[in-house]
Amino acid sequence: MNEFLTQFLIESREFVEQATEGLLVLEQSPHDAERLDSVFRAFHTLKGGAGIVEFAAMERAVHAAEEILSSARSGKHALTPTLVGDCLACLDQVIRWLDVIEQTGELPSSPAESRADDTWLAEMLDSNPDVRARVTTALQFIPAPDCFYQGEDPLARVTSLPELLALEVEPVVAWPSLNSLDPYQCNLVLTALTAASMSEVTEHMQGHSGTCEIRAIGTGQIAPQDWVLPSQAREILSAQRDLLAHATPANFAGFIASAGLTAENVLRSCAHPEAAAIVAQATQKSLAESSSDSLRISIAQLLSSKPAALTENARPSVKPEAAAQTLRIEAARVDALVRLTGELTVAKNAAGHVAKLAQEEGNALAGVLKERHSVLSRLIAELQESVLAMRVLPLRSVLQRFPRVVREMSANLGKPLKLEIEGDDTEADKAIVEMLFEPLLHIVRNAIDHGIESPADRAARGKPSTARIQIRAARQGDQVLLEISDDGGGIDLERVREVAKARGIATEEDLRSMSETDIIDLVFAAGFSTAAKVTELSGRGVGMDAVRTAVERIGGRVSVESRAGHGTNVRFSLPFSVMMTDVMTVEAGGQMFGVPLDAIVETVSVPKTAIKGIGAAQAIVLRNRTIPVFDLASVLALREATPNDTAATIVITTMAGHLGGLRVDCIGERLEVILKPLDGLLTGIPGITGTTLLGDGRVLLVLDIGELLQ
Amino acid sequence: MDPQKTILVVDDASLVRLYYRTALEGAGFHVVEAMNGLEALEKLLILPVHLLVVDINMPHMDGLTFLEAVRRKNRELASIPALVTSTESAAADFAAARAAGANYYLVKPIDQAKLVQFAGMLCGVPR
Amino acid sequence: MVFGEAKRYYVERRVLERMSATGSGTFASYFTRLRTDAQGEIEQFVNAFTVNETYFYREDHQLKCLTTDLLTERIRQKRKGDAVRIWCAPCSTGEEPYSVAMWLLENWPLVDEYEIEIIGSDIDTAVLEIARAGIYGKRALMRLAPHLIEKYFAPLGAENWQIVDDLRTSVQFSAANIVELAQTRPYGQFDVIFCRNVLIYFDDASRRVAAENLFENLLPGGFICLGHTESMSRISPLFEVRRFADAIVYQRPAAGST
Repeated sequence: MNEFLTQFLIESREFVEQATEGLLVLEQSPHDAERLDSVFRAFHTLKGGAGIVEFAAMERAVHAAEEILSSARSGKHALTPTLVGDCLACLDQVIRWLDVIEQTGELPSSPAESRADDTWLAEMLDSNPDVRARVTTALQFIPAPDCFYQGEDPLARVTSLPELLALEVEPVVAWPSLNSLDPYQCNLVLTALTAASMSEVTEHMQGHSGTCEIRAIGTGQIAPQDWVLPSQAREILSAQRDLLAHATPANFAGFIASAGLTAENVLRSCAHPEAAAIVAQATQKSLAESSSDSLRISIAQLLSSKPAALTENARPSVKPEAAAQTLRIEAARVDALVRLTGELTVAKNAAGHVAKLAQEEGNALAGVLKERHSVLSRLIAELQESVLAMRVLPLRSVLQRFPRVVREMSANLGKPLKLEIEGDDTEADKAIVEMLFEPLLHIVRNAIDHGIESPADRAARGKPSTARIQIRAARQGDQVLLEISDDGGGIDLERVREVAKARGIATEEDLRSMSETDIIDLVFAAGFSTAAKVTELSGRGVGMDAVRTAVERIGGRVSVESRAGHGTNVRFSLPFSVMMTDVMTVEAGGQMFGVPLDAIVETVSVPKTAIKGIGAAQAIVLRNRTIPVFDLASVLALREATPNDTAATIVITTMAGHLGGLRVDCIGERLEVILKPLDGLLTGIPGITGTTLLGDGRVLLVLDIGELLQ
Repeated sequence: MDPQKTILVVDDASLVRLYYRTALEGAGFHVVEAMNGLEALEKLLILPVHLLVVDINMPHMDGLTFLEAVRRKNRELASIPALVTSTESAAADFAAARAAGANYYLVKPIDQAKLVQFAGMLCGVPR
Repeated sequence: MVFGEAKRYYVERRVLERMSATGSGTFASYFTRLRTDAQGEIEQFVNAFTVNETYFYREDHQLKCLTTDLLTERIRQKRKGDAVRIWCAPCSTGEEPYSVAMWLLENWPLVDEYEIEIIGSDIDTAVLEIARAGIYGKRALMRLAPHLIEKYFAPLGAENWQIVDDLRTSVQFSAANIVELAQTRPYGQFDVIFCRNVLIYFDDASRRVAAENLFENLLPGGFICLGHTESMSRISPLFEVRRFADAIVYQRPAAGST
């Protein structure tokens, strides 16, 4: 993807967020002039960006919304909720387009559309050869079908264009017979060529309804849309400007002539013949006037054209104060740093083993080694903390999508709702923030769908008509707490009991001995869903068990609290940061284990005969090195003897510089997992570095090769 | 189809002249050579040249003296774009070249691809 | 030059050639010619015995070593525009020094950053003339890819090619006998010397003298490349062995090192 598009994507997404936020506020308070201004500016900038990357469809769409906001600003039309909805719909489309661009790396365009973009212009220019040379701006105007009702006269508007050179009027769809013609519907396509400047034409067409495409043509003007100068060309042009600034009377003509010719050549070689012609004219003028001004100004203009300015001075559009405090960095770079820090940790651990060995052998340096190692340990731990802190994002990035969600659901279900968000500046690791959206969405949907009663029911119970959903986030120690509460009816315990029985999740007996808390916890059981019918919104039977799995995978916990008649609370307790590790799964003794990838040198398959016995131990010879081989299943006490297969799969691992071979039954796949360190009773078990939850819910034990092979 | 452009390469080292020549001829230019400023001035009188590629340090007449002379000649010769090549990269060297009338300056060693690119742009050959 | 009994056939052939060329009916009359150096016969005789088996890009792994390793080291101490001096001694009919020049143009991006000086020297004046003319037949060009021949040679008749002027003028040819210090000293000191497949024809004493002379002609830290079957270690202790990926070369120790 080229630089422009990447920049365009980043900035457009930001402006869409800004506009969405603003629109939602405007819906509640349509007379907030400042907010209206900021939303208008956001749309305006979006349109500008679309123009720069030549995305005509987006330009048009955003322009339509901009029009709405513009007339609201000038007081012509009020900003009704319907209009806000239209603007939001426009933003939805923009987001869809941005997603497509991100995936494909290119602008989306239907072939018909892009052809249409150019053909009308080419045809119009071709059919008017006599005025072709004088055309500076071309225009195609398709008035809205109901423009007459708005009191508009599109034909008059176009015929009164300044310096009109040619005009063609055609029907949008072929004229029907007079009998079926509706004369009050405008069915015109007006195409015009003028010698006026693009800004004049744009101003003239201001306020029309319908779509209007305006293009700059010809020698008089450099069309901003077509203007791209490679950086080397810019350097050369800038050097000519410098040269002109140093002309002396003795060499004046030579300097001007050569600078002018050089600039002309550069533009010609970059396929800008019109600009080259302009420069040639400026050169002649300068020579005739014995003043370098004309040429200098001409070159200066070329260098300062807007899109070119984007190349030169492209800066992320962060507000000035924020710019000083933040750096925009590609996520991949931070991930690389995290990975490196992980590897550093492994290396540090290896060094630790050596320190221990030295101690055991009574080495004189053992004490110093141990001391140095602990200094290293401390520093690396700090480094790891800082590095992980780089991946930290405020929860706002996931929570800010919810006002929209709530608004839509509220409209769809006819339940008035208010969403309160607290603590959205609480931070958590990127991996956590990213995985939160789906589970949160499910819970919010549940709350709105099932928890919150219909307006009638609420009225009957004396509850305020507008239901309230709260999302609160806070940091506590190394945990992030997230709570979603609603003031609905709470969890219907009876219903839960019924469904549990019906789905075979619990028997009548079990249920009788369960406490209320236990029963509520049943909602997390696999296969549980109380939706009477599967609505579009929730209750697809995937439910809370998926939420719990997702949360536990990253090392968090989720629980539900309910107060009958008053509401439900769902609580998340999430780790502040996570470490991703690369592991390779292997099978040994019928069980699956994970081996950290950075401990693996290679994997080989050898015939049984290649394994030699050396005393009680076994070894293989690989590339002239003798490597001891251990049967993993035996080491883990999963079986007594090694099976008698014809071939053996051996994973060659490295620990503190020594190679060791692990014989396994078979090798699985490579995974990137979030390692949960052992805690509680499990910490004492040697040879296990941690556990992780696999996608299917199984627990994978990840081995500590060093400890294992000692 | 654009007519072929002629480039005059001025450098006292024959290996360097050959180095630049093969790059430029490979890109479709017609190349003539001169070993110093004096010879270059002679060559200019014989055939039309579209670009000068000039080394600074040469015996008999160095590159900057040559360039100054060119810029004082009749309109046609004075307007020929000039690319100065040199091992020196101090600001004073750029300034001296500019004062003599250089339109651009490249510091040696010059990558053959880069030479072709800049020569093309300075001559007006499409990229 | 010393030829052992094993080379008897080789010597006999050469003598017979000269006898036939000078119209000497008997060895005695030829020997008289030789003793009196009639019509420069000594030079002709010497020329007939120097080995002229050579072609372009011969032992190109040494050329690769030159641009990859040797020059990289040499320019560490140099500033832009400084001289880089290379000597091919002996140079025979010129294929070797021209090969060096071509190789640099093709493979060394810094070729315009330094003042490159390539000198070819030989005891045989006839071959020096051929080298200066720069005209070669198919056999000499056999290892060159067609695009190189097109770039650096102009066809001359049906069977021959001539090196383009710029390349020809970039190499200087002159006579020198590497065993004679008086003849080698004036050349000054070089960054790299190619002395391939000539020392094998000398006796031990001459070999050592030649090696010591060439040592004088190297800048401290300069390199000398021999033929791939030759070894300097058996000839002179003055040099240090350097093993590079593409070749083994010998180095005059840099200033200030023991």
